[in-house]
Amino acid sequence: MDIFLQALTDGAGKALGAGIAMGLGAIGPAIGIGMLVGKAMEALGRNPEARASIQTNMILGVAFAEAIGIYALLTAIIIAFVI
Amino acid sequence: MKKTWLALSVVGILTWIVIGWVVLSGPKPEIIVAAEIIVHGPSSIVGSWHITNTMITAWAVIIFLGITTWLATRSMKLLPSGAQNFVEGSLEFLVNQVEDIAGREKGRHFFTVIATFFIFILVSNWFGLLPFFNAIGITEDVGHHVFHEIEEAHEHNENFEETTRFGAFVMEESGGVGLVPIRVRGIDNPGDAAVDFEIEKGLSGAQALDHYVVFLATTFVDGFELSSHENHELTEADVQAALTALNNGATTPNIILDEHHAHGVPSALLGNAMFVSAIDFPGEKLALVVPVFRSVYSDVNNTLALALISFFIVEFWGLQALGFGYLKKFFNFSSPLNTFVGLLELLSEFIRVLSFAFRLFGNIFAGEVLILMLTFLIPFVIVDIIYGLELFVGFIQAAVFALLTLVFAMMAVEHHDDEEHDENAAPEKEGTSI
Repeated sequence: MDIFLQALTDGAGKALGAGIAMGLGAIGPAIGIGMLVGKAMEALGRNPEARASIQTNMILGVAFAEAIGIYALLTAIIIAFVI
Repeated sequence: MKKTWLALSVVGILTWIVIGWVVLSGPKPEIIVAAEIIVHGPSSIVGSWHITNTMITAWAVIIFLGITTWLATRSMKLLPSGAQNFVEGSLEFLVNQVEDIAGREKGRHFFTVIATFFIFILVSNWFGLLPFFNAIGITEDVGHHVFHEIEEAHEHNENFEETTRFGAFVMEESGGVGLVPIRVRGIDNPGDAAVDFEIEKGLSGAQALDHYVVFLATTFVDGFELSSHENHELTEADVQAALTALNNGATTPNIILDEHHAHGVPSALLGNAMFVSAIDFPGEKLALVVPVFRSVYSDVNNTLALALISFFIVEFWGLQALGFGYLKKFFNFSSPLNTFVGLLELLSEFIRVLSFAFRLFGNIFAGEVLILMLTFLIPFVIVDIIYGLELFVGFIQAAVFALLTLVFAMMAVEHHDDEEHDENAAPEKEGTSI
């Protein structure tokens, strides 16, 4: 137990926290982006003429989903470098 | 024949990896989030007017774009060729893209700003991938800086309010310009980090001086060891030994003592027997190389600036198109629900700024860190692939920024009559005019 606490105060806790924040935070956006792009490709296959609008909306959606991952990255950066 | 080529390329790649590991393995790279200051400026009420390396890069990008455009469109011809053709072609492509999304009239209205965002971000991101970025810099003297801090604390009779950390490399004098890192002690050991010196919270200037002198001795004098290892307290003997060891060596840092005790810092343990007025570095010194160029959007200030510009221009377009009716979207007191929805809209308007800023910053900064780490992990080979990925990310992020601004602008200039009509027509809304 003492060793564990010592490790936490030595900065291992920080590394662990940053890693967990980023790792767990990346799951959601990854699933989201995967589903988004998959559906977009499906739509593209069904209706190739609508390529422009499908692409635009897909990139928009990906950007929004990705933003969540960016928040996780931000949290990880703050844990690792600022706190 | 094919098999020979395959075998040869595998051998070649492995050779590069081995050469990289043996010859070019450097120290553990240092990741610094804040942009480094190149020119220190005066401070004022609104903040300090420092010039950072990301700013310099941004100016370089602006100058590059200006000169390129000027050269390409200097002598315009009706039938474009060469550079003019390229510039016109790219702009036409962008115009078509914007018009596809926003329609002809609105598209043309928004085009200049959207295209400026796209081109500036794209070129900035690709500039950041040039090999001399993060590599060539000016050296910043850390060794003297630490003593200066100690001196200041002693003069003002203050204790250090928080733990201050100084990271640096031990390097040879290089006349102020250096590669990162020029020559680092322990280069045969890739895991070696830059040397670290920490002044703990609550130490006075004199106490910090003792720690610094001992730190210098452990760093620069081979075979110097502390007497007491059990508790980390320094003893008089340690400081004395460090002082002697340092001043005996020809190339080690010299502790310059002041006999008259006029200017300087006394030692906490030795008292006036070690009254230091300066520390001189005749041989190797403690310094950092501050890169002159760094990718523009690996600095969150720059992305925030862009996000704010995007925010204000969208609000401006909204007001321009709808007059003060635009604000009805946010302040609508016709029913509690509408008030709440309006407040949410207002909030999301500001959250957009944040996510704009951090999306770009996160992507570019993460890319920089990835390239840096892989350069030191597996030199030459994997980095090339990641470079390709980063080219793609740079493009996508520029496109996303411009596209999102365009979409938000379209949402802002949209009339909300239809929407209100729909809401009024909904059955749960009673008493409103239909």
